[in-house]
Amino acid sequence: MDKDETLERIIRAKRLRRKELSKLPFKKKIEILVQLQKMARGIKRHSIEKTSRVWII
Amino acid sequence: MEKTLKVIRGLKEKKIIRNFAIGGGIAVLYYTEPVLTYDLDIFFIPAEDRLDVLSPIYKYLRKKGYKPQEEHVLIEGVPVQFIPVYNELVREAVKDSAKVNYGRIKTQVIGLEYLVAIMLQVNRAKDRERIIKIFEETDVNLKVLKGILKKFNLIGRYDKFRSKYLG
Repeated sequence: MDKDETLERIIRAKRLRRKELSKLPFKKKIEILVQLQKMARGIKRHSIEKTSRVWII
Repeated sequence: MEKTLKVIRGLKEKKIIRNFAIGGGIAVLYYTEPVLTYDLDIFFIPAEDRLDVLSPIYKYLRKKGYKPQEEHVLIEGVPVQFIPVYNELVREAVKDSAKVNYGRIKTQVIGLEYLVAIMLQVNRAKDRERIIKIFEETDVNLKVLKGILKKFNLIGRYDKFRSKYLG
């Protein structure tokens, strides 16, 4: 398998995964969103913006 | 979030607003994989024509203990931004919004094709990114989309966008 094929396979797998995630229930997506907000807060601790509030759901 | 959506629905039930729908990043998230966003944007049709359309909303929410903070109102742990429908496209998108369930709560989200049309009209960098995402991850009804775009004179912009980013 050459480099191009490997890359193509990875991209295809990523696209498939995103499509699967897009089918999750709304409520589950909001739970994931809150996890993303918490992760981002950890990264942005020193430059936190007022609007970067983690939701309490 | 359920409590937040219940409070928002209460605005319609109490006739403080005529209609509403979730828009912006959360509407995109409803259709795509979860993406980072911090606001819950609520597009609404005011109950009556007046200059300060936000005032009755804020007054009602203040009575319930939810105070505005800059452009948001923090409702049950979620910063909510109320955006009055600012043109015919957005008004029609709210009227035609999708009825969805969040757990046990019934709410409304801007329909997928209207969402694309609105983002195409607003056309910020993040809107363009979100449109690409929507086309990659969802099944946009092109017939419905083109009907909306034609009606609101956005076909030219869509064609350019399509050849530049979705080609």
